Amino acid sequence: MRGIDLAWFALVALTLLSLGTSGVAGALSPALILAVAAAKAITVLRWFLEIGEASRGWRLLLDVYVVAICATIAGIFVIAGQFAAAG
Amino acid sequence: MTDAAVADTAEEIEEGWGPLDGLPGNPMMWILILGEMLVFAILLAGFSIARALHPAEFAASQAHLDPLLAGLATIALVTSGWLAARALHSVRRGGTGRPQLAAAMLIGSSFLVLKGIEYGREFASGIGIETDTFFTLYFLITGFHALHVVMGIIVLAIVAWRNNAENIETGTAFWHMVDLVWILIFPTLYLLR
Repeated sequence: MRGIDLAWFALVALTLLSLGTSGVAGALSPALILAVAAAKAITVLRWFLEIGEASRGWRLLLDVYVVAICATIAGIFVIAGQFAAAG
Repeated sequence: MTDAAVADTAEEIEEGWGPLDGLPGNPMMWILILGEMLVFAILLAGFSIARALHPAEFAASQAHLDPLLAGLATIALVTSGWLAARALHSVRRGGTGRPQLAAAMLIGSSFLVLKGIEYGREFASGIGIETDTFFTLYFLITGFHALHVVMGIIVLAIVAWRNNAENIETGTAFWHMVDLVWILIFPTLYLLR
């Protein structure tokens, strides 16, 4: 099995995992869901888009893009939840 | 202009993309890809801020969505992306890449069918783009993305026709961007509760 085939298998498995995790209550759930999304996005970048063959700067920029979006969404979600609980 | 001068000018044009030259496929496509990635990042951040401002309204509206259907759509899109990646591998080994691209387009189209089923259910329940802020943003983000899926299938059809390695690399790069953006939309709109 080649790298892109394993990447596809991982993407399907992670999608099923995120569907399962979404039903779990608790503060860890949003972070886990978005960590899984980030792992999937980086898998697409590495194996399908072959960004590993681009320069270090591009690899870093695109990884930072994925991590920054997921961290921003998770951060807003968690902070808003804490405000709602306090209010 | 002498032949040597013409060749030099052509070489300068070919090497005139600076850092974009280091990315797979045509640099022009990457200008589009990076622009679209930025637009979707802003849309998802905007959606998250709107949810933080109206948590109860967003939670009630989100309950109408079907994460399982969206999950199936995700699997369809990543499978289509995998087939597109296999098309590039095939053409590099001397194949045409056409069977893989045809399969990628077919499975990519199933994403649109699933999206149609989802929208159909919502419209049948009386939900529309003006129902509330959640559904305005939901239809805007998912509709804009679906438009990219349509464009992506057209791009895949073009590169299947003109199937050299550079064209397939360029066309599939756009398709993988569509895939990547959906991977970020899916948890943000459907899973975070």
